[in-house]
Amino acid sequence: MRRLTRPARKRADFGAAALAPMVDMLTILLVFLLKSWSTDPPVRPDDKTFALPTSTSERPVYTSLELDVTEEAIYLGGVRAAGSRFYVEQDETLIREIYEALQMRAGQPLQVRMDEDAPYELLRKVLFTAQQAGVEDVTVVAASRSSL
Amino acid sequence: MFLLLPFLLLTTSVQKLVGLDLRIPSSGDLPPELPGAVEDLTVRAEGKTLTVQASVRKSDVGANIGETEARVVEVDPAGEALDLAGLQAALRTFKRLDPERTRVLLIPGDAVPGRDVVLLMDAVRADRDGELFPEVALGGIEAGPAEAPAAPAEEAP
Repeated sequence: MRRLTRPARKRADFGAAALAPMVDMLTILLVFLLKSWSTDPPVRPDDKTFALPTSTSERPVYTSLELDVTEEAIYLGGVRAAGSRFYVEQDETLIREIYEALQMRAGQPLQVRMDEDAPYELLRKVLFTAQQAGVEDVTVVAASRSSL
Repeated sequence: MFLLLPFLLLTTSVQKLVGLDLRIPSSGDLPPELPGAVEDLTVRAEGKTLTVQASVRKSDVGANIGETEARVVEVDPAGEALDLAGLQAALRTFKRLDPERTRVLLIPGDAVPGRDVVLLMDAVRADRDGELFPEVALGGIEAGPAEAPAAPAEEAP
């Protein structure tokens, strides 16, 4: 009888020994996924050159009007509103193409999603235009360092 | 756990978005800060060179009430990158002078790229020792009352 039961006990011991590290590994994976889990949609998925700057901030982004600033153009709500190069080369501070649209949404929060290579001059002019249009709540969107 | 893991793997997004609140200094509705030892604090960025400018109240016995002295700290770039540690060290000295102060004005140069603007905004908010100046106002935006742009001229018949 002893001979019959001994091999079975060895197999059970081996299984229990292998299960513990696997559970540890899965727990680590679970914690990592829970920490980095997000349902944020991709930003400008059709534009492969667009990349958000990276930030250590942990403040979540809430849904609001989106204003994308790239080196090529300025997009309001996903629709191209103005060319960026004109406003980089010219001294004009107010971006007329987005002024009226922002004025109609004055009081609403605004998300500015800026390309990491776009110059501050563009952001400065966008913020000036938003301020003149009466937009008070402005958030700059960045990619979290804990992104996958 | 075996159900949760595939669910998380399938539903998670590659990019997690975060927000950085902005204060536009010229909007005129910012509440005044409590008076402290540091009256004005500005960080300027030109290329990779950073300059911290502050007006610090004199505490000498012979100084008049409200008299300030201007202090300027230049932070040279660390190789090809911004010296964020040097900037935070300079800001920490002003934070020690005025621990109640939370506001800083950040004025990047026009050519400074967006990634450096966000790096600077992160750097002035906190360092390893704790909070620095979490209320960041971006400068270089002209002040003035809201003015509607001129209407386009009517075309001649």
